Amino acid sequence: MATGNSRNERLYLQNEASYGVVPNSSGAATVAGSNYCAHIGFQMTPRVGMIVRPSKTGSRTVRSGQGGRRAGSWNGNFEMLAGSAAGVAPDCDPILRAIFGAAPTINAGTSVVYNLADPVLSFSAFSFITPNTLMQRIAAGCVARSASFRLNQDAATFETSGDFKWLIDSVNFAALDTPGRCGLTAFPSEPGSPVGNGNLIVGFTGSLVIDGNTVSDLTGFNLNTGVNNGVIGNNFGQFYGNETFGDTRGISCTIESRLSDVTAITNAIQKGLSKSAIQIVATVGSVPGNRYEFTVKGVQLDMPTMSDSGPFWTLNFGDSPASGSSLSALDEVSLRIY
Amino acid sequence: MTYRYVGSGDAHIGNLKLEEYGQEVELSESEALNALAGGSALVPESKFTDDEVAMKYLAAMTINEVRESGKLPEVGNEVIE
Repeated sequence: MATGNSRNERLYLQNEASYGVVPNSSGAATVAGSNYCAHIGFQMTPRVGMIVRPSKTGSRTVRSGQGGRRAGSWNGNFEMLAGSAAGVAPDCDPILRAIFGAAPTINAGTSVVYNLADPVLSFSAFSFITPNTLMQRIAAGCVARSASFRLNQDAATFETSGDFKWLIDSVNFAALDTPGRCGLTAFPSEPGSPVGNGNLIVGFTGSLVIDGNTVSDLTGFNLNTGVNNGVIGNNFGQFYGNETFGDTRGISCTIESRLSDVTAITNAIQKGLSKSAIQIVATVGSVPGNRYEFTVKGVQLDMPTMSDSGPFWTLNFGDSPASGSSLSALDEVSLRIY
Repeated sequence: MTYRYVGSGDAHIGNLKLEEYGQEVELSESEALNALAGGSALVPESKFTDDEVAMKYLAAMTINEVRESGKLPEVGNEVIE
């Protein structure tokens, strides 16, 4: 008998060419060591509906139900890690593609840039646990609903979540119907030689530039990237969600700073009142090749509140939405790893 | 075949840890394909120089080529050009 040690898990991510189809060759998964992605945690939550017969039974006892539609959701925590060299997409590329909706622009030797696009991209996430006699899982058809990037942490991390089509597991694989196997004919083993890249990015290094002014008194910055993709779970004739949708994006940020009379803070307070759209550039990390730079355009700052709960005044700019530079630019947020 | 690691940070290929510029690693063709597709900055021994900028550029080009084609570039190809 083996007991699952939660540390003995590796996550692998693969872009899907067709929604909800685990990349495969004649039914055999093509996941490889090159698809490994270091993670802090990746929760996969399957849901199976229960269909209850609504007719009266003639007593207060109900009839047993029947399994209904199948769906699920995921939630992941990752370090912000760059590729092994500038201009190489990071290991978490499938997740960033799902968040931004497009493959990155690769500037070899210089940077990797993710810009927003409207398509809904999906990936398969493989959770392999050692020993392999324990239940292994594959979340197929993962789409991103939201992501949250923070400045001023020790290790720079981000949290992201979304929905998936179905969670295939090694215990139930033989009992699954064909749609539930998501293109596979056999449950794969963990690939050999996982390849992992990227150095720790110190989350309290970098910079925050608000409307052209660098904030030196920053205590917190949170970028909320609500891309609001989802899985259509109620198509007629389908037990599984077989299509995706993309709702209106909701990009916003919150800022926490010490109160000071520097231009950056004074200007930001004024923008809280005027609601003039401004640009914010948040950079995490200071080592070339290992920096995440978020450019957020069309931000309308919330009017700040002040707190005297500590020894110095803090300013809190609440949820401040970003609408980009125009309706067609799709530039509410972009990410450059450089 | 011998490769040199030219990445900015740590990289892992299975149990191998790559952490120093110029670190030598012996890989079979399939291992090299896996490592490059996985984003490890490697250049063939025959192409290695002390010019870090050029090596990182070469590695990035090679990785992107491997990811697009699914194949190792022919050794001898002047990818850097």
